[in-house]
Amino acid sequence: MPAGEAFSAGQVDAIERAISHARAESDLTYSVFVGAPDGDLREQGRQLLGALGGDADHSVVVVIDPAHRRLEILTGATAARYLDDRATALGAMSMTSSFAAGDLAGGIVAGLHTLSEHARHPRTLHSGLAE
Amino acid sequence: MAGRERSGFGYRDAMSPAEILGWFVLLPFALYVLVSLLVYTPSWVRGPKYRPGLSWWAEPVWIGGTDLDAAALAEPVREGGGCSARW
Repeated sequence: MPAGEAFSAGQVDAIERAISHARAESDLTYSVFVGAPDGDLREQGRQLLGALGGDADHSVVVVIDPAHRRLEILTGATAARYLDDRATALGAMSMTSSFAAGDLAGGIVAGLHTLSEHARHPRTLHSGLAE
Repeated sequence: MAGRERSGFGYRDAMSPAEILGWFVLLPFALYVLVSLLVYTPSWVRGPKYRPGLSWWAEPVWIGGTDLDAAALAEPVREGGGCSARW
């Protein structure tokens, strides 16, 4: 892999479309980090989740380390209510099966689709109203 | 010996140096370029391909996230869930 961008413009576009589709379907926020961070990948994911500020609770962060073939999916406190660890494992499985075949972008799109399908829930009305 | 005919094979018409260059150098080279383009164009269009097991040299990217430099200073979130996987 030459130095430079991880994805082509078309691949980035496909991932961004999958993110917005997943968000519309499940009312959660998704983001995908791809890089080769040093140290603990889970800790890196927690830090990325923290960087989202107020959105962290409703967010799902996918951290992919292609160099070491590692993947972490982290859910914020509220997101974890709709997307339990088993559902995230299913999403991870659909991603890693494509990654093993060398298709990073396709795996991310498929994984986001799986995650949002499992996180689908009825929109909560009146949640912001005082008791 | 004088008057004796030459034997062997030869071209019916003599070729000029320019024709020789065109037929035996430029044409094969053009074919080589054409075949190379046909082979490599699909992968150029598809973009870089990840090969599992080889090093990853691309810059870190966070699609759908915020600024990566700011994220390095963020406080980690401990609540929530998730999973780990390898391939």
